[in-house]
Amino acid sequence: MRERPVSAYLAQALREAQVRRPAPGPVGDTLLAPREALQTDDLDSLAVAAARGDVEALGRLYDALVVPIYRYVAVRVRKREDAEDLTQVVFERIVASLPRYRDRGRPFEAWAFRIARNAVIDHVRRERRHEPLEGDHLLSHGDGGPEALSLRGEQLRELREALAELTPDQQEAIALRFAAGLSAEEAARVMGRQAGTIRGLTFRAIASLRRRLAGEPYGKDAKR
Amino acid sequence: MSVLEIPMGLLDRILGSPPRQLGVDDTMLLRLERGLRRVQPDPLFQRRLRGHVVNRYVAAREGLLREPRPKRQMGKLGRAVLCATLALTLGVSAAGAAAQDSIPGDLLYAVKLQLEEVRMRIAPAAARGELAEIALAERVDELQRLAAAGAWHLVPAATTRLTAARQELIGLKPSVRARAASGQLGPAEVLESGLAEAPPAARDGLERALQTVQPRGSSGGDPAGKPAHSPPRTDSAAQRPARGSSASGEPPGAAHDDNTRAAHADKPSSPPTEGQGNAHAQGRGRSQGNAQAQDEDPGNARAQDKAGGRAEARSPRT
Repeated sequence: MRERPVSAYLAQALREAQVRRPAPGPVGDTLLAPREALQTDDLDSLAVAAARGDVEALGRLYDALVVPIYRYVAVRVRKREDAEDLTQVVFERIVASLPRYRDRGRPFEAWAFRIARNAVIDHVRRERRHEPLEGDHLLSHGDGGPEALSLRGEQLRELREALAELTPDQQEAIALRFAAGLSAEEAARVMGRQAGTIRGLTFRAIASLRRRLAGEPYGKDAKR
Repeated sequence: MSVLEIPMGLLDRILGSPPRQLGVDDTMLLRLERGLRRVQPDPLFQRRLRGHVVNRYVAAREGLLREPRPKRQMGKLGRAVLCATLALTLGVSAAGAAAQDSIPGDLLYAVKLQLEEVRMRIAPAAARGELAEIALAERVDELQRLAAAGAWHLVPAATTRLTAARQELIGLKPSVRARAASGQLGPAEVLESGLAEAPPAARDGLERALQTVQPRGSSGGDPAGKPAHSPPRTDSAAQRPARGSSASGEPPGAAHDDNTRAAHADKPSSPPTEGQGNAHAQGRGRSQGNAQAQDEDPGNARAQDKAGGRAEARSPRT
């Protein structure tokens, strides 16, 4: 699959962010990643239908959430196997809790990521810290040739090592906002914080990452 | 930009702080976006998981899926209650075990009495006689130990408890009444041995206790004034002057014995012989005449058995 240019990618992100939100926030709100998933309202209606027993609605919910949830989990854990196991656990818990979901103004996506967050917290408490972070194993195997895959894997590994040095709240904010693609408000709902707090966490996390990864070639200088 | 952001922006520029707003082309943002978005699940895993999730959903909807019960972890309050219960149980058990060996005057003696009372209450009726016997044996043992320790000030109360235990046993097991009448059911030996060394303050209590547990006939003494309950004739006892001798020089207890004899002056009683005195000294044997005298004593309501069994000598307590 041919990869789009970064500029087109960012332009689309800006258009979507401006349509969805009236005023941009101070940090990165305009760079909200476009989601492959459906809009929030659609997800809520699908969740209500699935709670009533609609199998097709459940399938569509799964298709919309599997990649964001997997990304969020994969950024927080160390191994691909753990990411897959946790993703399965998250969806099993979602299915088990679905009959109890009621559309009371609480978005289903935040509800699902709340379940994912709790599963990750339980796992992080048990995992052994000395295991190295994986890089290329988390990438899609369809991404270019072996050399490109190895390079991207190395870059991802460096990025994840830098993320591992952030505070837990900062890691979670980055994972929710950039891996899962949630907005500041949605991430705040998942973490039980205020949106301004999430923005502040994101800002400080990016500043820390910048200091950590300063001087490393990237962008047009990096081999692709 | 707001009014406040202008001087803050200037300050950041002077100090070299990073800009508070991230631009669209911020390299770190770009790196995060590109890097993290490259993380993709394996397509095969994605398909398999979809089937698994749908199957599980259908099974749960049809009621075919039994969710495992979540492990209930004890909270802080539960753990605190459990620890407190264990500590209380161990403490009570330890106190109970330590109380078993206590005597009057010890800190745990009240606990011992309470435990005996509780055991008596919860025991079936058939077992209460045995418990009463055990309790009486305990009172006797306590009295012995008090006498050995020289705690004479505690002897009167101990003898009262002993008497009560004896009465309770007789009430629960009427079959022991015969033994009671013959003096076999009681601590006469203990009391008599205690009399040898007891100070005057304790002698009255011991005398009263001995009268309640001993057949009445043995209470008759030598008309010449020799005390009926003469102390055992051990070497030490023979050499030791009688304690608490009255000014008149009479042996201790003689006045009491005289009073006793005076109270029953109209009752025929065989004078105690030397042999009987020796028997008293050694704590053995009661003559039938004594037993008969005891029968006629209205004060000793329990000694009503006129069977021949009362004539047999009491076996020394071991």
